[in-house]
Amino acid sequence: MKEQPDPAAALTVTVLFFAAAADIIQRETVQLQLHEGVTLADLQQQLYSRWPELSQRLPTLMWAVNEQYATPQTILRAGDQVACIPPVSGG
Amino acid sequence: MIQLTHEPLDHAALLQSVSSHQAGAALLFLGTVREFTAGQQTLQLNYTAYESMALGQLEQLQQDALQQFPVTAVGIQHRLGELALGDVSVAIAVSSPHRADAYECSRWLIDTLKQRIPIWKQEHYADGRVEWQHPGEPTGQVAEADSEPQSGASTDGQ
Repeated sequence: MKEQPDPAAALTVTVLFFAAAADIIQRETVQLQLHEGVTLADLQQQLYSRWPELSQRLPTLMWAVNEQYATPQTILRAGDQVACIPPVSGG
Repeated sequence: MIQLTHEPLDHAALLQSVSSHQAGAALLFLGTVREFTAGQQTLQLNYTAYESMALGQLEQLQQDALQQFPVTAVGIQHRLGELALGDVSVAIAVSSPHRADAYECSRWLIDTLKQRIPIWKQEHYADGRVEWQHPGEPTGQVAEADSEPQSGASTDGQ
């Protein structure tokens, strides 16, 4: 029986987009196939290379993993829900 | 009470929820939809949220307030969806033994809510433009014209 995760195994992560970020990429969710050990920073780079306008028009995006604000060093796990959070404007 | 709702806010119920015999003050703050911001005329606002996270963050905000200020109880409501001029978008109730602490805590709550809670407003202007408000970002051009650093939109906690 295999106890350790296979470093090459793909994991699926869902990314949610809101407000102007959703308008820019013209969708509210993206599913990404990633590898074990990948960080939030790696995921961000994938998204920014696919949609350069995202970081150009929203340079101070915040990110959350499983509904908590997260740093770029956060390691992603299978089934994680990542959210791309433009500057908030509630109130 | 912590509430996110598409219905009009029942702020009387919110105020009731913080009432206590321990308190000598009960304070209710309402944020309402303003017509003019930096000369731009607003017709309506549309609020959206990352609802599950926003609820969790509002509960955390409530706990933080209870730890940081000598207050008795704290409640927060935020409305989502389409709001007309004058509608109440946010309600914050605080009770405390002494009034100064309720004022200070209420101010901290609305300021921190505006920085931390994943809720966004979209302005529908009289000239036909529709824009998300993202304070500090180039997409929120109208927001940058606002002299108030945290605001840039048609409700106010400033």
